[in-house]
Amino acid sequence: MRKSVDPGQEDARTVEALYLTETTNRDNRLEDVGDARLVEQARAGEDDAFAALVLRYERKLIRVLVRLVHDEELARDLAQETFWKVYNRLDRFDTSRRFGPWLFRVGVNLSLDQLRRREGPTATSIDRTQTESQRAIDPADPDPRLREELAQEVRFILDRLPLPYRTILVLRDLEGFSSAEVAAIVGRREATVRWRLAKARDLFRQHWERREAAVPGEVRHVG
Amino acid sequence: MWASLCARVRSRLPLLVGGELVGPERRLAERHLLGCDRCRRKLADLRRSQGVLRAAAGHDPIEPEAPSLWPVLARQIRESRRPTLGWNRVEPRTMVRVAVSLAACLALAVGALIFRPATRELSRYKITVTPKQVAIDRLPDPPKHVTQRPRRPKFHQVTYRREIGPVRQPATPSKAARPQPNYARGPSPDAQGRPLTGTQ
Repeated sequence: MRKSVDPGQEDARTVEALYLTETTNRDNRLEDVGDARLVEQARAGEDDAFAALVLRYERKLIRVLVRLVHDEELARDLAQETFWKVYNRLDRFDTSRRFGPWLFRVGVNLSLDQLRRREGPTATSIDRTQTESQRAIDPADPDPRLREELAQEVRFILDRLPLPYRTILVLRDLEGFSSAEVAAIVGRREATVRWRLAKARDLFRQHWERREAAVPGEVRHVG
Repeated sequence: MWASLCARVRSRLPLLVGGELVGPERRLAERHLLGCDRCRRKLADLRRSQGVLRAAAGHDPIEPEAPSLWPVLARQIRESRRPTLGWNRVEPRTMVRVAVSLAACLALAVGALIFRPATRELSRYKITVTPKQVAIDRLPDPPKHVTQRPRRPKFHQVTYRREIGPVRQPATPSKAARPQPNYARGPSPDAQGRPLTGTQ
């Protein structure tokens, strides 16, 4: 027996379904649109265009900020502040340039300001006690707990690096931006970025070797 | 020569590991590495630490089901568009400038009201202040046509008199109207009422 349905309710469902279909189609259309076009549409007052930009970049931005500030909630707040700042400055954006580096530049600058306010003098020693780290970590180990531990070790060492080196190492080696993109984000010349990158990698190597030397037991090497 | 080349190559090894070293610099480093055991060891160490970084890069620090920022941002944008007096759209720096300007104007107006009479009075004097003395020298008097110019009386100082016809001077009393001493009664009494006599 067919259940009777209120015609008004049915109409509402149809309208809702149509709206959802239309929204999904529009979102799919916006996914293919370039950043510059979306920025122009957002300037014209189309919120969907700015929403597409947010959805496109938010996860990567939050990931970069988490790697810098090491606090997910704070990184989300900073990312939101970044998007709000960018939204209010859309008129100043030159659409002949790339939107991504501009967005990340705003976000990285906000997080660096936050870190400068928060951070005291950097600890000179990176050696932990044996209770903190009981064994060597193999980066090639697929065990997720070990990967988590490895990420913590890396975070611990990154905290000990000076901010300019840490920023470049995070952007280039952890997030995979190109040297040119890193230069655009940090507002330096590419040659400066390459020099800092070399220095940062060497500092990271020194800290990692000291950590390895401090850990008792067998140290497994990875190629 | 060899030591300086070694130092030069070693400083570029971190870039060689990441693939950023290209061109002649890369060829020079590779050629040097063939014959330098120390630099090869350092290269191996760098490759190991880069492996650690690559492994850490694979770890996503944020939750996969983390909510999007858009709903909060959309609300923020909607609230910013809500019609208001417009103060929330003005940048804080502009608001500070406007407030400072208004305060300055107010201070100037109050100052002008307070010091106006005193300034007018003191403008006629030259005040010389020295460490030992404070002397106020009067400036030379202004020309007479300036100082003696008749001033128009202020409104509240004007007194209106009702005048009908030419103003007459009050007539001086005639000699006859003046009280004449009555010599017949004798001299005028003194202060105590006693008659003055010629013998006293």
